[in-house]
Amino acid sequence: MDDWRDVTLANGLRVLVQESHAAPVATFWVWYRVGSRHEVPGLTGISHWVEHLLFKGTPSYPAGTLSRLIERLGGRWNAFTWKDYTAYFEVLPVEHLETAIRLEADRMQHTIIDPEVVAGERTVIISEREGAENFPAYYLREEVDALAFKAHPYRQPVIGWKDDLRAITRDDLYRHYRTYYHPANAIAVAVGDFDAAAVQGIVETAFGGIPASDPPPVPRAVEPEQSGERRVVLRRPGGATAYLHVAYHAPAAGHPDLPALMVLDGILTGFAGIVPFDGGSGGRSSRLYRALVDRGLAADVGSGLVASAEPTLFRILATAHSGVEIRAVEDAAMAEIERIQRDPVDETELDKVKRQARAQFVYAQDGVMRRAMALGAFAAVDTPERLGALREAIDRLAPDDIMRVARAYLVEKRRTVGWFVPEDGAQEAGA
Amino acid sequence: MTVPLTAASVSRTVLPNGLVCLVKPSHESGVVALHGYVKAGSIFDDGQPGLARFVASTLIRGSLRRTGPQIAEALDALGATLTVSPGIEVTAVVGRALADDLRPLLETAAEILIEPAFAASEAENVRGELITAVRVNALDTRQVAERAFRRLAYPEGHPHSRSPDGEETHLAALGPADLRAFHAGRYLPGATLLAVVGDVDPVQVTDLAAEVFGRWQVPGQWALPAFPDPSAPSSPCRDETVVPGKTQSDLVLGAPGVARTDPDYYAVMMANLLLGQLGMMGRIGRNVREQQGMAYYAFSDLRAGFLAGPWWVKAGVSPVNVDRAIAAILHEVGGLQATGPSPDELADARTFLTGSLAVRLETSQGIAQMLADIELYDLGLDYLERFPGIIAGTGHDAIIQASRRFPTEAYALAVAGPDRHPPTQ
Repeated sequence: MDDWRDVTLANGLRVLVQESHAAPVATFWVWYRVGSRHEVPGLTGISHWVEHLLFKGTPSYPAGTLSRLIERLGGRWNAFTWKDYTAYFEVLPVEHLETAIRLEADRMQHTIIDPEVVAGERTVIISEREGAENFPAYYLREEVDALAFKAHPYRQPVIGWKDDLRAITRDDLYRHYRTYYHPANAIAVAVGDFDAAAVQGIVETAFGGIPASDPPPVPRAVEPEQSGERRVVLRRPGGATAYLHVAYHAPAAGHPDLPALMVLDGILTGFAGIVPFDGGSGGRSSRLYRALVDRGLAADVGSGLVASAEPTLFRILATAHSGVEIRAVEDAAMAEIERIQRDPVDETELDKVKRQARAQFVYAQDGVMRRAMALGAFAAVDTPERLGALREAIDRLAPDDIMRVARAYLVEKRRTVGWFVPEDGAQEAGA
Repeated sequence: MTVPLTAASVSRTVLPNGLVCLVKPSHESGVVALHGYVKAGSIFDDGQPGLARFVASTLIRGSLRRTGPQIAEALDALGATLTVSPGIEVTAVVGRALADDLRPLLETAAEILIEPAFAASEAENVRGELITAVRVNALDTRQVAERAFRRLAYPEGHPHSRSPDGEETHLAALGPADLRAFHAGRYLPGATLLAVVGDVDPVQVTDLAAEVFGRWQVPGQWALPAFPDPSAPSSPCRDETVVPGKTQSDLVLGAPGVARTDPDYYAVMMANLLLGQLGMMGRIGRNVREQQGMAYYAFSDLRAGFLAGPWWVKAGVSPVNVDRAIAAILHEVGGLQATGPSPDELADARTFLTGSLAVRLETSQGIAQMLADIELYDLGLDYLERFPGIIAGTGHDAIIQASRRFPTEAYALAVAGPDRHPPTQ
């Protein structure tokens, strides 16, 4: 897992290259350190919008030719925007890797940001947002994030507020692209069935000539310490059941408590994947699953935190069984939090979650995509070495460590509780 | 291109009870992936909509040997996962474990498939989850549109005419006895196949499968039931459902497609690829999203199984753009039907289909699913070796003819979203 090459080019681009010889494929990623954390009110959603524009072409690869180029080679490509980063990737038969590397180097500098294309994409992105608005749990998440953070830009939705999406201009987008898309603000990751030294050379050739730029502005907002519970109750039509979303302030990826918080999450709902946004372990024997799902209070429950560049949120999410009061779901969940703060976890339970963690580290090695994603995500918010360090730190954890972080972070005054309560008037739909 | 999955690289064994076991070693990762099918989907609901789903969802909740929590504890203690996913034609059994833990993974799979308990308390919990899902889906615009489409496009009684979710009234009436009866009659070793891929030895896996599944002795042959003809509607039919509290409209437009065994399957599959998948969601995506900026998603999809599932276009658009989006979709369908793919488009589709095999097979799970699908539809273990030839032999004219199966007039159309025509003051 720890056998990657790690070099930084003269222009500041960090390059991570790892060999994997299980299948004749390779993947190439570029992670830019820009996401909704780097946005200011009035321009929320601009990082995600720029991501869309990077698929619209360059002078060398005009609009419409990019997809053709990758797919004709049997490849797949996509991108996503998150709070801390925007990531672009290709996965393709290994003999075509160089095409992906050249393409990414090209669109790092030469993306055409055309006013007509910007206008067309505005309605596409508003449509993307409105599609999410059709789901009650999406609204609830937006409300909880905006309430949990008063000052820090983690309060802003990645897709942006709708009025900002209506107002952002072509020049705003161009400026954002120019500010954040350059080598020193990016990490390139290649994993595949290749010779690492050769691929490193290809990356250096493709990116090495891109001039260095000024470092982008660093977001300065610091979230003041929360000293009392916050609550929001969202009442809307369009939902069939109630949802619970509890968010506790939690530390950033580089904090020494991250391993214990990950294991705490595993005890509550099963150890989450090492690869961000991955499914993780089953968790049907976990404490919250037993307390909420096995007892018939909730249809599902989840928890966790995404390793983040700055202090973030540890979330507990549940969907109430239809007809069950959301208060009962919250009470049952909070009783479990109090139990884990009061009584030490026994060694057997802790060993179970450690075993889940070890398995997740192995699963993260199955396929070039997962390897590259885990490596890139940690490099973008902390260091790639954090991955291996986490594995070792988790193995060393004792029951007291779990109780300590539960007592330190999962406390009432650090939490924001959100309820979605469905309003009537919707039952006739679908009849 | 190197074909990543050949007949020679796979071990296929039919156990004496009829269960098929496929094994493909894939070293390096330390992982083992399981992908299996039991041909016991909601096509066998037989007047009790939701029954197959209820059965599949309850399997993991306890066996005659262990309770649900005991099974969960054992899997979680290994960091393994085992899920049972009900579908219309088949129920999928998907698992993942460290390679050293293959035995407990397979033993658990055997235990829940062969001797599930269907304990009353567990069934009650599952019923609550299923009813919650039915109610949530009844207010989910994508689900509402899809269900309405199914009612319009398929004759009553056809498995594709309804959602496998079932209906609340039926779910409320089903009990453990119904679950046991369905399991006894439909969960047959002769209707089950398992693909195992990972850091394993094929002989050992086959022996292990014979050991843990050998006790499954249920006689009976699987056969596809007869259903009413799903021929396309003779005139356009349309449904629009208002779902309060929503911002966007979701639409589904199409008709019954083809079965996986249909001789025209590959031509229809390629027509679908060109229409709404290749590149940024094919010709439809290029028009609706790229040129007109109307939708984040607008694509076509072909569901071909033992039966002719839907061939549909789905899009999510602003309520004011529904009619424009429909016109654009029909324009693109008509365009493909009139002139077929350009030489470049056809070349792109062919190289994509053959070239992307390596990428689809880059994980143990991807290989296991491909193997299971090959067995399910009896494609032959040399299928991927023959695949490039099949695609090269599917030409321009065949794709035009296939595209004409998509109706531009007598289609089924369902729209769900906010009220597009609110009463004026």
